Amino acid sequence: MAQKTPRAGEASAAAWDLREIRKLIDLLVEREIGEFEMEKDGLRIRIKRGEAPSLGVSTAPAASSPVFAPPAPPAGPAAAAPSRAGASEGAEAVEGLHIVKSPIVGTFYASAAPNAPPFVKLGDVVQVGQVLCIIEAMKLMNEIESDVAGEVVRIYVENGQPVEYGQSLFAIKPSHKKP
Amino acid sequence: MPRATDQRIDKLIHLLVKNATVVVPGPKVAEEIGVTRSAVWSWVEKLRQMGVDIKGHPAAGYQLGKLPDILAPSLIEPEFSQGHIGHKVVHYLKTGSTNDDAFELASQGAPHGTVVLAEEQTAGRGRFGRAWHSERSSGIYSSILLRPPLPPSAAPALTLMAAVAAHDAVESSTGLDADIRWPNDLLVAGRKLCGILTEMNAEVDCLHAVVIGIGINVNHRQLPPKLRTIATSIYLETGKLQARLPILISLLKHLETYYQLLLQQGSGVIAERWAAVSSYACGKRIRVVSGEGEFCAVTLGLEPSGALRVRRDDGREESLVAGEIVEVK
Repeated sequence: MAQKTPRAGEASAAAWDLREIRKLIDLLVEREIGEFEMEKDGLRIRIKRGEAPSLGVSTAPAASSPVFAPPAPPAGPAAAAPSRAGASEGAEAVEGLHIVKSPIVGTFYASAAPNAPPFVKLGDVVQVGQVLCIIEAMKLMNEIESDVAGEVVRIYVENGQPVEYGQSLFAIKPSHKKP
Repeated sequence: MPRATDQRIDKLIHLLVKNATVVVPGPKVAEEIGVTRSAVWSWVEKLRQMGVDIKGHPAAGYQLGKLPDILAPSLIEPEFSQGHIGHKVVHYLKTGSTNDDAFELASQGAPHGTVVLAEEQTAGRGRFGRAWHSERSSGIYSSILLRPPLPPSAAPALTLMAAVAAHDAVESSTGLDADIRWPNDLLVAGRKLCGILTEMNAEVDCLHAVVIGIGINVNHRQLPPKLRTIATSIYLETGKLQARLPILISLLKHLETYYQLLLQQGSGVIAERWAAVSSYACGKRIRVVSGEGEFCAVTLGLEPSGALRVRRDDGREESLVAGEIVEVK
């Protein structure tokens, strides 16, 4: 991950290795610890687990209405999904990070065309409304725009990978406006 | 975004259509539209270049030889009720991509049901920026802006909806019974007649706008060599030139009908209609190409959501929501 020097007085999420946070979450899950809080380098982290045993999936709303139920996840690769989603749900609890999620079940594309450069890379600073990726479902191309300005500190998925409804795609550290 | 077609040209077309049986004197045309007689003359020339059959000259007056096959707003909007798809039309003689224009208009607050049309696209495109051949006035190059009261997760069914609407419009106006390749390509004898590119602007639980781009090859007499084996046109299939206007109006009417069905009864009814007209719905041997690789399968029908059920050759069954489908013969 690209490490950027934090500006004075500003806590940097980059000071936290997100892999460490994932490990931490795994530990909390393993020990069945419900809530956890700590402070380091001026950044406070609080992790609170839901009551449902399956972390990630439980947060998805029980789909709008039955007739519009999103398609069932694909049989094969989905097996790996819960742990992945679980970890990213955990990352969400990192205060100050904004998580961009997928609005539909589909395929994640990092660029507009196969040979084109990706819309964003780790460490990029994005603006509100800037396109981060495309999620495709049944030839419906959904350009996901950033709803915050800030730095892309984590990309949870890879080009061409299937994604679930509500699955975390990016973590963005919002840039603070000067008062 | 280029400037939309001058509304006064639209007025000129409307005037000539309204008075199709008589010669309209040049000065009268100029007065009604509010321009000089020489401007009228230059517009008439422009329309002639676009294939509109206008007889006469400035001194004698103008008369339409036959109804023009130009997709002018004044010939389309009156066909549709307020708020329905087609009630508002923005027309370009030439533009980059009607989908891009529709999103631009959407960001400026254009209403649900706005239709963007172009006689010619210079950057017509499909998925992943693939080019869509958009020869001047030969095809229908349209983008429909929708603001559906649906969650984003339900929006993919709009692509199947567009495909059945295009299927029905082509069939009812030309008699051509096209197949639909999942999810939304119209094919005749395996070659593409109509392509659909749907793009959505949404957040996790809030859908702002959907633009459905529909390109139909109508009167192309010849396609570029590299497209000949994969694309076709209504003319190439029927041997007859077809007026584009009635096909477009039929398309927009079918879209409205299926859109209302989708909102009232859900996507299942769209999936049923889709399965009734597509050979890809059931028992088709296909190859699936996706970001994760390729595999062969047999189709087992559609989910109510529109996802395609398949059985892989290794026996596993699954529902496809993405990927490229190719028929295996």
